Amino acid sequence: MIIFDEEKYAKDIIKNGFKNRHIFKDVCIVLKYFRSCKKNDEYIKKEIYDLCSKYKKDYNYVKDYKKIDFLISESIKWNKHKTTFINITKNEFQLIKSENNIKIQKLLFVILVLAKYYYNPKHNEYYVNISENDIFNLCNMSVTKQNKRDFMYYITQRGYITPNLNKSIKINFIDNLSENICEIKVGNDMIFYYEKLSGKNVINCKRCNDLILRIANRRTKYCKECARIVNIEKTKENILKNKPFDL
Amino acid sequence: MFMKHLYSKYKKEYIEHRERFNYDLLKRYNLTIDELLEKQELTNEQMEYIDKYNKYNPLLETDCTMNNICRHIEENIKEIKIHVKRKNDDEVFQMLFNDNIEITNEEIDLMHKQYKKYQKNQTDENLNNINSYSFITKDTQKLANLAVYICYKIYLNGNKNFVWDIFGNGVILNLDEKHNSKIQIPIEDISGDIEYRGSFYDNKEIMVEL
Repeated sequence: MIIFDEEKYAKDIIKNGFKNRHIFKDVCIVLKYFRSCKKNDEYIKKEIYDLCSKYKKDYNYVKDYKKIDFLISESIKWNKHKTTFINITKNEFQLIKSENNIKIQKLLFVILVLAKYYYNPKHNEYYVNISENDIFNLCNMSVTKQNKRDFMYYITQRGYITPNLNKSIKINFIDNLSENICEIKVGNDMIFYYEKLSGKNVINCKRCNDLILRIANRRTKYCKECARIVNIEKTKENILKNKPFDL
Repeated sequence: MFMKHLYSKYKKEYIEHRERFNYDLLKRYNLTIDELLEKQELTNEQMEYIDKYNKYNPLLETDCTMNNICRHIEENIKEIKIHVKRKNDDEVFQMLFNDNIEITNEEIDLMHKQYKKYQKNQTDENLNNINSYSFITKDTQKLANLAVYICYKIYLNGNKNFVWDIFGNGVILNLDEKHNSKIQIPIEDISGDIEYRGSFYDNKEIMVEL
């Protein structure tokens, strides 16, 4: 799972506890958040130890203190990846559209957005070092294991990407010189920007403001997650309304 | 190649090496490293790729005697692991459940609700304390029976911590009652049927005091 809005994720962890099975990954995100808020070492240490003792199963100070102290000392060097906006240019979009298969188009779009999001000016080239499962999850389409393998092979043969032994792919179809046609706020709903550019009816969720696809003849208002939460809230309200009162 | 089973550091390096090459190969040739090595007709590029794979391999995958034995055992262990996974959980349920203690559907429902709460928050002190289940029944053996029913009959693939962390004592008392404090364990005996690592053992019954 890729976390684009680390600040929001960190606040959620502080409020509700760890979400990741490997809790030290969550601890790293919380540390980045505290460093960006310019908190001092003492405060950070106290908060992290409180968080671990509250939410970590089988927490043991003697077993865990070395790792936690190491992460706290290392966190000074980390850069917090802010939620950024990236631009898609006309040539890039036309190149993606030239593919006949809609799934290949979506895959290329997601890879393009990730390449620009993770761009490091030191390297001067665009790389994506994300697992294939995460990439395909962002495409919001159902694909079999064999499909994933075939799609990645196809886009390599076409020259869109070049794989390497560092388990990353180099993106070869970036073109920043042509005019920008769309600005994208990078998030888990990035694929809906592509749907919007392709002319589909895309709206914002009324609760969390993420983009969602509005299916024809349906009154879609919320994204999947928010729809579930709203449904639970409405059911509770209805139960309380219709509950017969005791005489 | 057999070294990976002796030294976990080499095993880690070997797996990482294979993953890196598989990642690259699947995109370039739509083949895994095993498929490429088995392929009959290879292009010059593919042969160079295999040379690179062997050059940077932390272990030797040659056809020496030890490597062949290792491969043979690995194939056989795969079969054994598949058979072990297919073991029937009902057998375990029959071992742990005490038929002499009756449980009602209402009690199962109450325990089921507590189980769901436990699954959401396993660090909750209240849920980890057996006394907070006294509203269902005060009998520890009955509580253990209910927990065994939930974890070994309803949720076959679920985590069994619920039974053993909270009701472990009750389960032991049930087992003791079920088997009249007798258990069978293998004891070394020259005339035994069970052979293990050159010695012979026989299953003998002993009394256990709790």
